[in-house]
Amino acid sequence: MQYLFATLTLSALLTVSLLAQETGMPAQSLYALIGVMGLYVVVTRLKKQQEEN
Amino acid sequence: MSSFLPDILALFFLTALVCQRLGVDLKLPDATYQLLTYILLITIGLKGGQSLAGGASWALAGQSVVVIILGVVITVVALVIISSFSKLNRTDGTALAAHYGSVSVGTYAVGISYLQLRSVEFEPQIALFVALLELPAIIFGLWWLNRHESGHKMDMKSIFAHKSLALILMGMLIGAIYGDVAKSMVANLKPIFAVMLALYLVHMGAMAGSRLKDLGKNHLFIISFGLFMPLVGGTLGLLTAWGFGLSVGGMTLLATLGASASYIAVPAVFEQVRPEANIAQALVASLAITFSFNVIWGIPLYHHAASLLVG
Repeated sequence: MQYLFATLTLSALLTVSLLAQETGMPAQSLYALIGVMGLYVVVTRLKKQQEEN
Repeated sequence: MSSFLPDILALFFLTALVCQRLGVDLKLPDATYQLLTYILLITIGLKGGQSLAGGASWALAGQSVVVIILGVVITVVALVIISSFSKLNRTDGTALAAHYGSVSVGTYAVGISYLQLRSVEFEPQIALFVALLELPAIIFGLWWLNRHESGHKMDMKSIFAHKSLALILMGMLIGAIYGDVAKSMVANLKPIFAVMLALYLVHMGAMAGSRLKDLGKNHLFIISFGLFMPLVGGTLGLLTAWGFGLSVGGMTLLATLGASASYIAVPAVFEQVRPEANIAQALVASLAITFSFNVIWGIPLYHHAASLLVG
């Protein structure tokens, strides 16, 4: 469930960023946040899989 | 390049956070931090009270009731998300939800400064909303826990007797009674407000940096929750302000309040009334994640959304 919620959060942030950009607000820093968060989710997932193996 | 940079105050916060992570301790001595908090709270209270003097109306009373309900609604939404997506126990989950239903005066102060730098006006009653939003989440959270567990009593003194609420109400009361006299006092405080806020943010950045290590085993949920909730609370605050017919500045500030999470009042009350709750975890979410998000990304986003809604 944690991963599902993290994905939901990433989707919400991406939607907000796209809307902001479409309506004239610079959203580069929001994309940077999404990138960092996405990377964190992937690394956490890989670590967990490694531990399970 | 400048569009990629965060707001000037956010940069103070961000650099202090990075410095703390690199091992440079930029936290202020406790007495200095307390003094800054006193000045910020009294300035906000005085300004709100002074502007409210003679402006009380039935419309304002109605708005106050809606704002109190907003605090409870945000807490309930947070509770639903926590119970659906996390494995937190009831006490920890409720404590975390109460942090998000309440507000952060620090985030509000950054919001004011953001608007003042851009010469955006806002309604004086927002200061009253800050005071009103402090408590509903705490009372609801404790009631929610008591409903499920017997043997705990609602300790009203612990709920009401904390200094952030007392200082802001004191400032408002004095500002309202001595409207014109308080004007010169507010004018004297205004030039130092931004510097005080920058210092406050250096301290908060350092605090957030040092808190990151307390994430614990629920780290992925806590980080996601800390980023998701400001979007939910901000939207609810923005829609409420839109319903009130507030200006762009007022809408931005109410959205900021809805999006913010308490890191002073709620932890203090829960630590006293529910010592078994994991306050460290809630503080990481509210301070290290949500405060950072609001200061760096949130406030400009709420301002942009408010401008779009007003047209």
